[in-house]
Amino acid sequence: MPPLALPWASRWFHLSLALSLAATLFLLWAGVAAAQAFPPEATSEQGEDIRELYLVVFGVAAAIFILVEAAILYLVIRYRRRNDELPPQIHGNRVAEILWTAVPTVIVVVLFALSYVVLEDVESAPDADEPVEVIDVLGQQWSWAFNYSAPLNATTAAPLSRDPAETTLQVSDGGAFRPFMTVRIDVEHLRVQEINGDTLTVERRVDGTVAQEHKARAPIDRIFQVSDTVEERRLEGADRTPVVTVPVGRTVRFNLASQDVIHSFYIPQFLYKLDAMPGRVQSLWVKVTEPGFYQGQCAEFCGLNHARMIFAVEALALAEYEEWLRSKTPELGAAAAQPAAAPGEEPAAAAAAGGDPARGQQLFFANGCNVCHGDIGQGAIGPTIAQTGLSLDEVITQYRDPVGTTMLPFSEGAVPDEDVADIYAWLQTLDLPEEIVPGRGTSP
Amino acid sequence: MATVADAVPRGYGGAAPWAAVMSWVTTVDHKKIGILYVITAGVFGVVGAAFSLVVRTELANRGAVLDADTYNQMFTMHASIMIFLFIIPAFVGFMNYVVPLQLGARDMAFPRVNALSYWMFLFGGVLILSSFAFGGSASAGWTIYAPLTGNTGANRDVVGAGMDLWLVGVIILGAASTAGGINFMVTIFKMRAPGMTMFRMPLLGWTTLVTAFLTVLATPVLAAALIMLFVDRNGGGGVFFDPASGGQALLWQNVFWFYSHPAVYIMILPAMGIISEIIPVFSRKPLFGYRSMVLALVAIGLLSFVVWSHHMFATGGVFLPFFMASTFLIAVPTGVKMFNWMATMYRGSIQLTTAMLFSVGFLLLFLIGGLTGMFSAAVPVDFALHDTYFVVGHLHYVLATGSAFGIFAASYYWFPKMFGRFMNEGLGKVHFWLMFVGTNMIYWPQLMLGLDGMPRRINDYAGNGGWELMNLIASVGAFIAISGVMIFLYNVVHSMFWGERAGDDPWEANTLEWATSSPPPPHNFDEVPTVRSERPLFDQRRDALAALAAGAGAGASEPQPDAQREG
Repeated sequence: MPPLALPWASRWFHLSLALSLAATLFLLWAGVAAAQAFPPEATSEQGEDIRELYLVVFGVAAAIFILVEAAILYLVIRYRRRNDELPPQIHGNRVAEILWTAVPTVIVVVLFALSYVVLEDVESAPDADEPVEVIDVLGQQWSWAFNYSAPLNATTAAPLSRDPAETTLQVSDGGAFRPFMTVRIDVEHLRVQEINGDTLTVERRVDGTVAQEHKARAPIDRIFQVSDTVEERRLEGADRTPVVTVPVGRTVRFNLASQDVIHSFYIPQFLYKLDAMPGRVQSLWVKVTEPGFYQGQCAEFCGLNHARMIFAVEALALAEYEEWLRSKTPELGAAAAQPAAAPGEEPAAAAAAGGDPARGQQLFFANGCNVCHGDIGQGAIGPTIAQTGLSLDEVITQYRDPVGTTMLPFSEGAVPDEDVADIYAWLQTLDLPEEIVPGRGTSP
Repeated sequence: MATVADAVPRGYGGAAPWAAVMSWVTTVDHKKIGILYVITAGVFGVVGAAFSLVVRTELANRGAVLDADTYNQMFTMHASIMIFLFIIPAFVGFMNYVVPLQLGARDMAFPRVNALSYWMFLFGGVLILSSFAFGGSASAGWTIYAPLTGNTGANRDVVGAGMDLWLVGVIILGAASTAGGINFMVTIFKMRAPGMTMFRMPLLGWTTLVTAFLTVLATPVLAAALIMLFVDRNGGGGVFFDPASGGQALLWQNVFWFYSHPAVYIMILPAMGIISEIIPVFSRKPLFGYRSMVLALVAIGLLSFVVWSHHMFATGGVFLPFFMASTFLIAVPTGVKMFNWMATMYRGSIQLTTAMLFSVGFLLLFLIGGLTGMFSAAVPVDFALHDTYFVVGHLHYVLATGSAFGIFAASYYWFPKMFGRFMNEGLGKVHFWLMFVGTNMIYWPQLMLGLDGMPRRINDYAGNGGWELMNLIASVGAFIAISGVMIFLYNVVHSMFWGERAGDDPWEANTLEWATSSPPPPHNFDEVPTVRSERPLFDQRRDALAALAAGAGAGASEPQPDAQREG
């Protein structure tokens, strides 16, 4: 023992210093942690179930955390080395070992059972007679497209095989269809190319969906894209956010598809996500409980601008939603049929550019221009491009090397100049209805 | 024994500098190869840590520092380096150095294959990093999900040569690991000292064995996946993973995780082995429940092959109840290990050296990694948490405060054996506390960010969600943790030349590596003590004490001629 036992030289001083440091940090930490130890309040039925399960798991984890951490700290402090004596040489204890194998086993079995019950509940589709709102979601690098539907008074007349090469579709009433209309049978999107009485020529696997086998008398819905956006300014340089509008209190079936790579449709306040996989269509069932505006975003890394693949959900009361949907449903024969320029009737501007509008229309959809610019070039995430004031050369320049936008360049190899000319020609034929004004959106 | 050690050339230097260099380049000595592995992995680890600082800087500034492409390359290479070039090879290095010594063997079973493994590892690592000289590295995350990486179909984010270099590099690393795994298996099965039955083998030997089995069984599957993706990208047209060409997007995830989940255990089991060596020594007690530790280890190894789809719960293509059950189940053997470590400290005589501090830190923080894993195991909760920062926090609590703490503990513990000198304990404690505080500041806020819905792998986020503060705390924490690593690096270099001299057995340890000189001679042992339990040196000390007490002098420690065995 030195004559002057300074406090900072003693082991106890060091130990208590370390402990108080640790305690301070822990309290700080606990303070911040308590502020956000839980997921956000759920605003969907499934989310509420998931949140309840979270709370159970949290309770179990918190109890184990506190007990075990305290035990470790106690052991380290209580049994620190005091002298050079050899402690008792304990090699094991069968009872203790069986106990701490059995107790965790019971805990995980209980957690499994609870999780299984919630899983069944969350994943189950609603009863057959319950009304369901179907919204088709298409993920594409790096945005989302939302398609709604309206029933057509037509069904398939003959079965259709899953071979995508089979493009002849017999329907009960050909008069219900218009050229270039997108329709849905089950979860597959098809685009009508030609109508010959009750026989349609269709394009299969549209909008990232897959060709499926369809029975006769399967109901056919027509699909229309709603390209609402909201000026949210969530991220630097991305002022507008695409919005999907949903009803409150009615189960929504989101059919998720992807046109390119894997995306994930994630709304934190629904506590739920599901991947949009290329090559398959998957459904997510959500019953929203609270009207409101909820942010969402792609959760599966999908390349360069993954962080910008954002969207928002606007949940409206059912009556309000139905009115909204009516206002968005295009008149059959107006918006849907309008873009189809009659063959041989090329407007002057297109003729001057030397393009083929009919081919251009097909290319417009084939290259996915509609995802950002809307089905008739009216603009959505991307600007309005119908009847653009730019010359063809200016369009090609912008197309090859987009300036002031997150749009990716399309190379000459991907889309040759003559294709751009055709698309340009078609865009110039479009006559936008008055109510379709560029960049319109709902407000939160 | 000391006189024998002095007579043996040190081996880590030579008369001429050129000869010294060549002695390392041409070595087939498991000890030199082990040190090469650890140092190379350490250098790669510093690069990986630097990339993490770039990532943290970007996130502290809401995407205002880097463009998206650079950011994507940074987080991809951070993970790739830390997993393939730091944690796995650093453990291989320590196992290479320590396990043959613990077994009382002269070297690994196949010394030349061992050298080949090291040089392939170095080459593969350099190949992956060389991508920065060829237009940029891989940038699709370390999981390189197809069809994003497929270079085919409608994908608009085509990654060039960097992705191919990554694939080829990892295939080479995998081949090196597989060869190394077989080498460890044969060494462990065939080259143990006389008297060392399997159940008298140190725990690190067992973890090495189980890790070797995981490596040998799982890595070829990864190699197959990587070759399929390479073919898809280079002329194959996407027939494996691109749905537009008849492939299946989910197939990639199945084959990838069939390797990469066992790989999680390849990264954590050696750390568990290391702390199973350290905790008994600094508690002066035998490892509690040796056999249940071994059984738990084997159970983890087996279960690790049937949990891979828990990385894919949100894909919609998984039989959920089975993988939920297996994932919950794997918590049980992990819990058993945890309690056994705690029981080892119970009624012990605990000396908090830096190695022990890192082991206690492992217990305290790996627990968080395990408990957060339970949230992700509960499938519905995982629907909310998957691919968010919660998962990032969880995996870092396992890999950084688990695996990396294990690497640091091993460094402080075996440094005296490797170089004959102690690392500075004072600096070591500063290192520990900076790491402990820093890592918690990074990963705890990440758990909270994930709960609040922040997805991983984004370089930019909304400023209105309260995410800025959490990200800022995490970024400050990253710099604190890295400052600890800087002190560690200084400590290593300084102690190598000027550290306090350590004797042959400075920790009063139990296993055979401490029965030879520090550093050991090239042939490891002049004599191998006979093994009668899992703690041969403890037996030796006790016998010597007993002999002293009986007044029989030092008879028990007399050299026993011909006790040395070679495989």
